[in-house]
Amino acid sequence: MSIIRVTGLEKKYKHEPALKGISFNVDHGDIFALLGPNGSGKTTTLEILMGLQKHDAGKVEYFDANGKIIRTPRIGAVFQSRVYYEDLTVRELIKYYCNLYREPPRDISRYLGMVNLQDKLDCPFKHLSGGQKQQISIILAMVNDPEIVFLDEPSNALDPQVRLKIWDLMRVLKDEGKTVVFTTHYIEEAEALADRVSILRKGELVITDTPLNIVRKYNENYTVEFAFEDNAGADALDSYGFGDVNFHDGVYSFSVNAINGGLMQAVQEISCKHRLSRVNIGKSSLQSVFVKITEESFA
Amino acid sequence: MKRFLNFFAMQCVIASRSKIALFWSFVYPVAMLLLMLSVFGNTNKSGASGADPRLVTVTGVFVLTIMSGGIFALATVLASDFQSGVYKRLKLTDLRPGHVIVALMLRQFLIIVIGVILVLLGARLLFGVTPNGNIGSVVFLTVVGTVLFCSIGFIVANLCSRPPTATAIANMLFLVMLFLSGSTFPKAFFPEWLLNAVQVLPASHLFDLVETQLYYGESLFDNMKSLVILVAMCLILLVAAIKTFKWK
Repeated sequence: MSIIRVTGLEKKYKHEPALKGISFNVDHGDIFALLGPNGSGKTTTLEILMGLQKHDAGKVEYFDANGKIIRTPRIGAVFQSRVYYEDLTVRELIKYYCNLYREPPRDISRYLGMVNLQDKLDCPFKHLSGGQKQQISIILAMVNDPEIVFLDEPSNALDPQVRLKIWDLMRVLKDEGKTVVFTTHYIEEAEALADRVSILRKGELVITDTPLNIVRKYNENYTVEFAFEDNAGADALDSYGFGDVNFHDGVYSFSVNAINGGLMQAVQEISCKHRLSRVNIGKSSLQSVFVKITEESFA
Repeated sequence: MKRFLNFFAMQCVIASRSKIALFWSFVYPVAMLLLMLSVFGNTNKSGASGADPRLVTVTGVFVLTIMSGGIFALATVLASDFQSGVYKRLKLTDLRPGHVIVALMLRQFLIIVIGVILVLLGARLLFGVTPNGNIGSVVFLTVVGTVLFCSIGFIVANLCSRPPTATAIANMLFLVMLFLSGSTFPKAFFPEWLLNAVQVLPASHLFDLVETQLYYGESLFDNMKSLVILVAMCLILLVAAIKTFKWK
């Protein structure tokens, strides 16, 4: 059952369209990702859902657990920028923000325990690391026990360990029955966390579905990846006639329709002739589909 | 009420930790007092009313304290907070614009009162200058001045999308009012056209009214014209501050 229904949402900045009539639903208790490259309209969509921006056309509706339309649910928000008074300590921020709502303050100490930041309670916010600030920001979004939590690029520019902690925290929120809506341009983040994903491209919604269904729908191919320790990669792959080879982060990759004897033979021969640090054959990921979808949309 | 008091308490804690706010609220007025009384205060001659002429200088610093506490503190800090998104986050709480405006004005009033007390104490203890006037009238002028200049600070922050623009406009307004209100240069030296022109400056009327109190020791109603204009300006600017308020 839906908690958010977005219909034909449009937004222009001056005369530049930022959203071109997007529609999607978010179900109760789901983790929902808005995925797209920079400038695709993710943050604009999120801010309209939070009521921070007005839209030019379309509808945003919220529903309770019985499917009745409600005016505004309790929401929590995590932003990209630093939105807290940085001279205050973590303890003070929790105390003050807890008391800025009509409802009595909620106990959020359990979240601090989950991220092992209890010892930072008396530390000024400005003295925390980027990852700690982001974790505290998520915890501060919980002070009003929100039904929906909006996170705008929650793990942007954070190291992998902190990113995993933030993912764990988001899974805890889902386990507690909260609906989580987040934006990201990290495909692996959407793939790892989201029950459903909407892919945006230049203000248009390309598709909304589960990550698995999107991969199935758009790509039945397999991806073959090689990372060479020597510099012979491109030549070696050329000599076997593999077409459309991409090179990214030291890894050569290409798609094949099926895994057959010829392919396995070629992989074995390349492995024997060259020093390889990585060989991988698998189903195409959301990443490759995302690139394909956004490129098609662009074209 | 709980939300308002909580936000007000938070703002007081934030202000008490801001070295820049403390400097402009307390150190700057006292330093200006020391400087101006050192330069203009070497006289024992009585003024026209028989009062200490150095009280005119004290009046100037008094008005300057209210102006800097109102315009600067709000315009620059608020513009920066608007841009960083602090108020975007606060909009998602159950705070209302009225809570924010009243709490920030009340905080600035407390800061300005402390600044004014430091100025008056400094004048008395360091230079032996004792102001005249009625304490109730002085408090009334401090309240009206605070609301008026805080409203200007709000309007500047609300209308400027970038903090450097807000700071530049706040500086321009502050300097124009500092030099043309009578706070630093006596209006007696102003040509006729300038005397007419400065009637549009609220600081000019505030200076005249504070001077009526601290220097002449007369009733506020002896300068009814300035009183009416000042209160009217205060109300108009307050309404404009409320109307233009936005969370980001």
